[in-house]
Amino acid sequence: MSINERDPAVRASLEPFDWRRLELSKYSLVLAAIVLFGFFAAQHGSSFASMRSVTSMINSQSILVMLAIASTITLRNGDFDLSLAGTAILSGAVLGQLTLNHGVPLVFAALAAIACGLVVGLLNALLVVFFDLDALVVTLGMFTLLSGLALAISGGTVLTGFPASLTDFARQEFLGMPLATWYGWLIVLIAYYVYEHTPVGRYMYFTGGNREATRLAGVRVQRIRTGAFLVGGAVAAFAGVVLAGVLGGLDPTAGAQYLLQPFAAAFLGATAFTVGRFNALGTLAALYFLVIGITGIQLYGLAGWVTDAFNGLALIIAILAAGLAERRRRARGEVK
Amino acid sequence: MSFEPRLRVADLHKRFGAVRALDGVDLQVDVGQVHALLGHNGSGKSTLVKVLTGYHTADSGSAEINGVEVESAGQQLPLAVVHQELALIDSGTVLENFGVAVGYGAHALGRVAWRRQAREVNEILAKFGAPFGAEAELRDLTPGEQAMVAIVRAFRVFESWSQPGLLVMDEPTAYLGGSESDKVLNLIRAVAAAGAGVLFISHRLAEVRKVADWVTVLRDGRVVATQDAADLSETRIASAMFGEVPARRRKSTPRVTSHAPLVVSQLHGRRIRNASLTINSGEVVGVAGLAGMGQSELAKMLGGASPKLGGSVHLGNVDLSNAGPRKTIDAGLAYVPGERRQAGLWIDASATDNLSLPHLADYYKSGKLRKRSEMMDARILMRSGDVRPPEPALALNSFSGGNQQKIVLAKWLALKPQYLILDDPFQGVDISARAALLEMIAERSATGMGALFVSSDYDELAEVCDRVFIVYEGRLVREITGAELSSAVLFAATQSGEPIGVEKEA
Repeated sequence: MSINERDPAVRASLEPFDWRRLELSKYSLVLAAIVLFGFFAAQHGSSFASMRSVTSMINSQSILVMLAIASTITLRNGDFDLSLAGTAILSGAVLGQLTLNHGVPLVFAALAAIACGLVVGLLNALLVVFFDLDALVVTLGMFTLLSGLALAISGGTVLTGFPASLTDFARQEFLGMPLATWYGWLIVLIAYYVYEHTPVGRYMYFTGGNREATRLAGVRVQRIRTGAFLVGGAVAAFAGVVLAGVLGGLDPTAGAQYLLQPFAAAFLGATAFTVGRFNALGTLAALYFLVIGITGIQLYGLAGWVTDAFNGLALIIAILAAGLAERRRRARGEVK
Repeated sequence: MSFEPRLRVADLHKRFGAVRALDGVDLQVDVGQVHALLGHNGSGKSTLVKVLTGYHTADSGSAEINGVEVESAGQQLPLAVVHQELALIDSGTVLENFGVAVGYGAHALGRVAWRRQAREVNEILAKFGAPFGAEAELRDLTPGEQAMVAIVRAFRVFESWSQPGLLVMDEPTAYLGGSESDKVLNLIRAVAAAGAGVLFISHRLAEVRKVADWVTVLRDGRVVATQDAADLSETRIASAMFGEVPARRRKSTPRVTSHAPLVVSQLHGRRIRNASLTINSGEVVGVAGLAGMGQSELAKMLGGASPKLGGSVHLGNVDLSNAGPRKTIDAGLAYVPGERRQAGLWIDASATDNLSLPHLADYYKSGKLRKRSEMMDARILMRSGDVRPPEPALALNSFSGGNQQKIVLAKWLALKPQYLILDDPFQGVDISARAALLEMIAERSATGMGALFVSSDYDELAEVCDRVFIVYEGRLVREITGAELSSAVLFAATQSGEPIGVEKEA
């Protein structure tokens, strides 16, 4: 095995051209977002490329940013948590019910809502980590259960009239952006730090890659997986609190619209920055890429179906591109 | 009925580079014969089987099954191979498992003729005295019965030929208990009586004695003995298998005792009963046994990988009786597993990330993982462990098996363990890499590291161990030490649970 053969230049000269060689770099996704933005800016002019439109695109993603990061926490360990959207809605419903009908002060109501998220995370962990059940099925069931509970708690109606302190908590502006957006970015930053710069982030990555080898290396994989469900649940519950603040109310049936998009963003995001791993910056970039695409298409006057269609298509194309890139990387012995 | 033997191998040669895997092998399995093939690791047994199945093409010589020359893979021959892993589908019935191999014999319009199939499978099961029917769920059968399914199914393949052919059994009883393996052995006799020829590969002489008519021993690709199974003697077979070479003894460097001994007392586990042993600093203690006797479980328990169900383990005054991997590592033990790709490392991650994993926290300083120093350390470890190429950023799947195993060992030696627990980690590692790995262990033991070394390679054990325990059905039954320690003695000793010496011949 000579090192020469590993030299990409040498290999490239040995191989005939192959379209599969077109591959993803760390910045492909960012580049695609910029190109897409440029294209729609040229098409729609200032109705798309204005400060106001850009900030509204960014702000529209604040809840999804939090939920998408929450989904990467378990995904990094190789576990799915599809209940996150349900947790967020339940948390919003608990918050609303406590503040509106029971006069609980906002801070305590918010803490109670986040505690709900922890309890849900603990239940998920119990079923998935300790009883070793299939995470996809368990957490999908949990999502449905939580959606039902949220509906029951809110009495089957849209909750409105949340206190001003709550809407301030989410909508007050700082440097021209509402706090909700800042919370999302803060969570991205924390996740970025943990994933890329701490041992725990590496442990998670290894747990997702080879659980047994990781366990034998002395990493407490069951704790890490449990912790991920707990933290993911808490983040989702926090997203629910912020959602209630942003909207000033809560629609208990809104869970489904937050169910899959975070995962689309997480998977799409794994094709950027630290390619092949679920990561924080990539996830953020993916969400902005998606909202640029969707907004741009909607400005042609197309109806709401565009959102779902574009999300789905972008995810499938991203997975395809990532899969092809992965094959090439394996063939060449590069690292994930 | 023709008079062609079921298998005739004549002057078969196969080289891999400089290694003569088969060096002029002659072998014949007659109609109705059970022919045992013995040989140590690397003797050429598996190469022979792979030539028969067409996986390898011989360089010269011939192999004929029922008089038909074996030429290539995909050739239709009356040959069936039953491996230790039975290649059965757990979630199906016996009938469905037959269908997978033999076909389902559909009615017109493609509807499966289940009823006819069931009748035929039941007939053949009854013919061979199987205590279950075609509708039995495979997962409800005992391991021995599952082996029977595989064997009867193999025989059924012969029914599409004018006469039965050759059945190759590759260590079919390695993980079966006594009465279970008896069922399988009886069935093998019955299959031979029905006209097949059986090539029976095993390390268990007691079974060979029970089932075989004739015995052939391979060593270094050559037939070194071939004889009637009736007058089989353990010592004679052992010396045929291993030759009369004096055991290579490891240099008796003055032992450094830098650590407290590792004391294992009355340890109980899933496959281990009442194991007591002490390993001293600087000592390499081997564990040898037939496959499935519990030796691997012993290593896993000491490494914290498997639960310890009773008894105690102490290292100095640290109690490891209930320790999992983390506590075991922290106490100064390192466990090197056998299944490299499943348990030793993560194949898609870089060498650096794999090497630093057990002590990653050391690189986390003032709030940041020091990846540069992690990478530099990895490069040093790879250089000193003779890993090629010493490129720490490369993913592990781009290294050869031998180099992957060097990385695994380097990962654990980097922790400077007081004791190293080796769970037969060098299987499938090429000879030069293996020598380098053993050298690394010997070097460390010279400076005080102790080791428990489970291995299926008796040469390896004889070379590096100070003493070797023999494990039989989960118990440590003998300890072989000093001048007595040689691969031939180890082989003979693993054959029975007798605590006293091997049978001595006049």
